[in-house]
This record gives sequence, C-alpha cells and structure tokens, in this order.
Amino acid sequence: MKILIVDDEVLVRRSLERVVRKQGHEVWEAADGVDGLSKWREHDPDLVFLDVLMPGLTGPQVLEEIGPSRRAKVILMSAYLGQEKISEGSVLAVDMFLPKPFEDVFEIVRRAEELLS
Amino acid sequence: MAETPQTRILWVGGIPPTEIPPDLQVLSLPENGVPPPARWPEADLTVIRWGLAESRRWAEEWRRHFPEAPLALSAAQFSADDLRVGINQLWSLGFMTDARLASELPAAAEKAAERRRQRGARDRTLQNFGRRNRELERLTEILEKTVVERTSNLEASTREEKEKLARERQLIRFLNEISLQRSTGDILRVVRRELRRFHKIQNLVVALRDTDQRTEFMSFRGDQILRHEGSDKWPGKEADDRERQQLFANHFGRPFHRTLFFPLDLHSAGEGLLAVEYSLMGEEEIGLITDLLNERLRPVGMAVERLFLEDRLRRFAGRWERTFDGFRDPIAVIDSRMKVLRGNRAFGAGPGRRSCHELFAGSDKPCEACPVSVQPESAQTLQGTVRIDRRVYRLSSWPVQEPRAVRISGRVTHYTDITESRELYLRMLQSEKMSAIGSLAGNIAHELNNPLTGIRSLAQVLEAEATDEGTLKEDLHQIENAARRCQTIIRHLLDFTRGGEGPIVPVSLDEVVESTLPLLKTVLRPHRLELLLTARNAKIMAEPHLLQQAVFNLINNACQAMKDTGRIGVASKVTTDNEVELRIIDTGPGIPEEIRGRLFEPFFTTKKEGDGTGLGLSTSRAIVEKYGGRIEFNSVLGQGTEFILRFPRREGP
Ligand SMILES: Nc1ncnc2c1ncn2[C@@H]1O[C@H](COP(=O)(O)OP(=O)(O)OP(=O)(O)O)[C@@H](O)[C@H]1O
Ligand SMILES: [Mg+2]
Repeated sequence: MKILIVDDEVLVRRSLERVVRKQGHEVWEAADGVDGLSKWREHDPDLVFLDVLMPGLTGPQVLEEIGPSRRAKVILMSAYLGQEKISEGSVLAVDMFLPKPFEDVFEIVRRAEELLS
Repeated sequence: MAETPQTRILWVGGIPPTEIPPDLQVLSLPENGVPPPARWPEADLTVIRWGLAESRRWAEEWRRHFPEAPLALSAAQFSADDLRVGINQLWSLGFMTDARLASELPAAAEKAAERRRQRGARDRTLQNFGRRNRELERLTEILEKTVVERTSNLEASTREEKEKLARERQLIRFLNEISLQRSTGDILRVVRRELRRFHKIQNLVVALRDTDQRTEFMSFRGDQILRHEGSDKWPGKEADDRERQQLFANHFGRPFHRTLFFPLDLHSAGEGLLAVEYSLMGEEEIGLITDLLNERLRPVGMAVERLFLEDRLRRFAGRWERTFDGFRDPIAVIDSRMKVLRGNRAFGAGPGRRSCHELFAGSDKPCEACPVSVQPESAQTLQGTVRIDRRVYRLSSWPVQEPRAVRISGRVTHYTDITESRELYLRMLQSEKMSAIGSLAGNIAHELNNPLTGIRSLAQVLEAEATDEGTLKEDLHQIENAARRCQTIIRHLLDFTRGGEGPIVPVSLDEVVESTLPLLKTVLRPHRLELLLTARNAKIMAEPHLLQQAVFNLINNACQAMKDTGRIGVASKVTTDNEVELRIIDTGPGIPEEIRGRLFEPFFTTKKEGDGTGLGLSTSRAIVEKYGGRIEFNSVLGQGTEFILRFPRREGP
C-alpha cells in the first residue's frame, strides 16, 4: 500500500515511517501542508497521516484542496483537538482522529492497517 | 456631695418584682394598667410587661409621647418577632426574661440612669442657651424686683394697690411655675389652675401647630390630658373667631359656641391657640379672664416655644445618636490627644477618657501605621490601614475645626473593615496570576507535545529494533519512560488550565469513583482497598471527566503516600445537611504541620523531581469548588490522612 505522512515534526514522521515501512508499505514524507498536497497529488496514496497545525497549509486546508472525492483514507493527528477550529465538513470527511501525544506508535500503525483492510 | 438619687422604675402591667436592690425604686401603680401619661416621665426607666393583650398599645403610645425616654420590656420569654419590634419600633434598651430579671434589671436601670445623666446635661445646656428662655427669666426678674420695691413701700399702699400687688405676685408665681414645666401638657395644667377661680369656665383646649405643619390638640378629661394629632387646616394669624371656632369644631366634632380664643405666639417654633369654653358668663367676668390671660399669654407662648425647640433639638439629637449608633462601621470622635469623646456602638466606647487605641484595639500603644497617631493635630484628612486582631481596617479621619479656630479641636475617625475584601483581592490576584501562568504553560505544553510524541514514538521503534546485547535497549526504554513522564506533566498542566469542556450534568459521585478506579490499578495494587459507597442515588451537578480527575488525584496521592502496604478507604454518604460527601482515607505517614498550609498551592510537592508536579491538589480543589463543593483534610502524623469532599446535593431525583 502507499502511505503518505504529513507532519512538521521530524521525529513523528520518522517513527511512523520506520514502522510503516517495516510492515512492507511504500512511504512518502512531507514536512508541511504545501509539500504534502503536491506529494498527495503526485503519488495518489491509499492512506495519509495528516497533522493539523503546520506551516503553509494546515491539515484541514489540505483536505479542502483535495476535495471530497478523494480515494485515500485519512488519519488526522492533533494535539489541539477541541481547541482548533476544524470545520465540520472536513471533520466528517476523515476516517480517524488521532489525539497527540499518542501512547504507542505500533498500535497506531496497526489501527491504520485495519482501516485499509 | 450629693447622694446619688435612686433610679426610679415605672412598672406597667403585670406584677413588679418583689426583690429589688436598694438603689432602685419601683413605682407602684394605682391600677393594673397603663398609667396616665403625665406620670410616665417621673420614672427613669419604664418597664412594660410584654405579652399582655394591651402591652403593644401601651408601649407604642408611650413611645409616641416620649420618643427619648428609656424603655425596657419584661416577659417570660421573647420571640424573635418581639425582639424585632422591641428594637426597631420601641427602641427598647433591654429585654428581661423572668429567669434573668434579677440580674438584668439593675443593668437596664444603670443604662437608663446614664441616659438620664446625659439628658440632664443636655437639658441644662439647652436651658442656658435658649434665647427665649433667657428673655423669660429676665421678665421674671424685673417683675420680682418691682414687687420687692412695692413691698418695701407697703405702708403707703391702698387697697387697690394691694390687689394689684397680689395680682403681680400671682403672676410671678405663674411665671416661675411655667418656666419649670417640662411638657406642654403641664403648662396647660398650670394655666387651668390659674383659671380655677372662674367657676363658669367649662373647658380648656389648646391647639399647637409646629413648623412641620403638624397640629396637636390637647384637652382635659378629668385631670388627664388627652393629646391627639389633627390634620385640620390652620387658621391664619389674621383669622377671626369664626374660623377659629371652625378649627376646634371640626376637630372635636361639636360646636364651640361660647369660647374665648387666645392666640399664642410661638415665634419661630410655630403657632398656638388657646380656647376657653364658658357658660353663662357676664361681660365683666369675661373681661377679667381676658385680662388675666392676656397678661400671661406671652410667657406661656415663650414656654411652649422653648419646649418645642427643646423637643425638636432633642428629637434631632436623639435621631442623630441613633443613626450614629446604628452605623455598622466603627466611628469615634476624638480630641487632639486621641482621647475618645464619643464612639458609636460598633466602636465600643467605654467609661472614662481613654484613647482610641485603648478602646478599639485594646492596646496601650497606638496602632501600627495609623496616620492619626503620627499627627493627631493635622488639619488634613488622614487615611490609612490598620490591623487589629487579625482584622484589617481602612480608616479615614477628618479634622473637626470650630469656625475661626486656629487649631483643630478633634477628629472624627471612621473605620471600615476590609478584611474580607482584602482576602478576596489577594485571592483574585492569586487566581489571575495562576491563570496567566496557566495559559503560558498551556502554550508551551502544546509546543512540547509534538516533539515529545516524536521522541517517545521513535524510542519505541528503536527499542523494538535494538538487540538484547549491551545496554542500548534499556537506554532507549529509559528515554521512552522519560518522555512519557513529560507527557504526563503536560497533561496535568493542560487539565489545570483547560477545565471542564464537557457539559455539566447530574452525576453520581459513586459512579465517578467506580469509573476512576480502573485507571488506578497499578498504584492500588500493593494496597488493600476498602470501598463503602452509599450515595449512589444522590446526584450532584458536575462535568464527570473533571470530577474524575479530582478523585483520581486524591486516590493517587493516598496510594503514593503509603510506602509499604497500606489500607485505602473510599467512602461516600449523604450527610444530614443534604450534602454528598466523599472521604478518601489512607494509613500513610500523615502530613507534617509545616506544610499543611501550602498543600493546595500549585506546584507544591514533596515528591522527587519527575514524580510529582505538585498540581494534583490545587487542580482538585479548583474542580471541587467549581461545582460548589469544598475540600478539606484531617491528618494525624504516623497514622494517616483523610481527604473529604463535600458537594451540594442536586434537588430532585
Ligand atoms: N494522602 C496524603 N498523605 C500525605 N501527604 C499527602 C497526601 N496527599 C498529598 N500529600 C502531600 O501534598 C503534596 C501535594 O500534593 P499534590 O497532589 O498537589 O502534588 P503531588 O502529588 O506532589 O504531585 P502530582 O499530583 O502532580 O503528581 C504532596 O507532594 C504530598 O507531600
Ligand atoms: Mg498528587
């Protein structure tokens, strides 16, 4: 499967990338929303880990650009849930919320794979 | 030296006590009822038996006649209502239950005597300074002199002159007598006595009009004087007898046909009208009466005026005094050497000239930081804050300066108790400071969360990948652990600042406890948990997740406090005050005295760095108070600690 990780925190990207790759998936990383959007369009991933607060474009803005008829499953990650204004449309459109900090990175990837199966 | 007179007590209604201290004298009454008003002022203190059918009427009537005179009530028992009426409407200075009569009566009498002394002094001052009064005295004096002169020439006097002399003597007696009277009723009595020899006079009525446009009529029934207020229109100064007749006829509801009217000039105090009713009287007699009265009208008018003025002044002074005493704030009038001349009740003045700090602070030294003690003679308004007995007062002190005087004669100092508002202010300062820290912490926490998540996750990944050789795996495990602790601290911080975001709903404290216990499995494991939850059906209003945090913190603290195996009790119940109570009891080491005061301070912890943030208790308290609850603790060193939460129970099911 093709997986895209969009997060401005390098260690978050790295740890997710390591686990996902180990599970045998193809992985791309993006450090901000703009880069994330272009990699999304370029590689058409099956699943996207998407951070909310990022320089350039925020996660929800990226989702808006992609539009409602996307193919990829989306996991929205945020330490700001409940405080950030995430418009309802985009909230409904994601497949899973992941509050940060997360406890166990392996567990996260396991749940992501469940989404794909 | 004059002997102190006995204090006279007038007992109205019921049976007066039999055992009376020698310095008290109880006036007996002819009948068991209300005595004629004229007798009332004879007493220094009037005691009205409360609870009889007529008590209230007596008391009110009495008070109307003598707004100033001391009154006390006696009864088997007083209800709260009685006290309210007694204090507010009757200005009773004592409430004596039968059981305590023996001890209260002398005290009330003493109070009354004190009033008498004060009033006596005031009356004397009034007498000395009344302008009209002096005029009256001068008049008396001149007449007296004339009589003495004439008397010395008595030899030469004719019969006619003797008569004239007798008339003048009588006039002097009249003047003297009238100037001694202490009520308009008594003046009227003297006038009546003067007219006694005219048998055809049937009735004497007087109408008085004061400057407040109040009209009062006084008439006789037997020897009693009846007073009643009237609302009738007052005939002007130029009015003729018909209009005057009308005034009396309207008021009394009967004609006043054969009546002589004599206007009384009360000068600045108002007007008066004396009405003399007669029957079948010849011109000659009428002429005699008219002459006699005309000679006396001026002094009568002056005496009534004096009484009016005195009364007004007294009423005013009395009202002022009551107002002064009624102030909840302490107020003192002091002289320029800080001796108290007069203090209101809240200030608590005592006998003798004592200084303000002696009386108010009970200290022989001036209060610290009191601006008055630094410059008592300052002509400026002084302000400052003093602490007396754990209370804090803001004081303002105004100079009192006689017109044209160079130096001030004293000051009026007003104290406001600001203890509470100061505490509130400090607390508000504290909470503002905390919320500032909170939002700062919140921002930092958010920023930290991201990299921490990365560190922890990556440590997990690397730990999984690392081989068992060497210490790498263990090192990575420690890194992960440290990152987790950091996250916990941040979570605490965020909870602390964020507060409940969910809705406030009715929750059962028992259920909150039950849903919290699973989260505490690890810390609870070494201890024995004893649950006694009996308030399942009692709901309180709260946001369940926040409440859970408070419970979590307290149980967590209890577990952490016990090093070895211990017992944890968690018990709930509904109290008799209809509060829901939760106790968390441990058998830990207890809380040392020195730190008890600081326990609820944010960031106060005795745990080693990394183990405790010191936010547990302050957060819990904020949560509990947010829902109208209270938190407190009891602790015995070496035995254990209990934390108690109490919440108001929600009404209804
Ligand atoms: N049950 C208890 N027995 C003895 N001491 C206690 C108990 N509960 C609290 N304390 C004392 O009060 C201090 C403050 O408690 P608080 O819960 O606020 O912070 P903490 O427990 O130190 O840190 P945190 O709760 O953030 O982990 C503790 O460090 C401890 O010394
Ligand atoms: Mg704690």
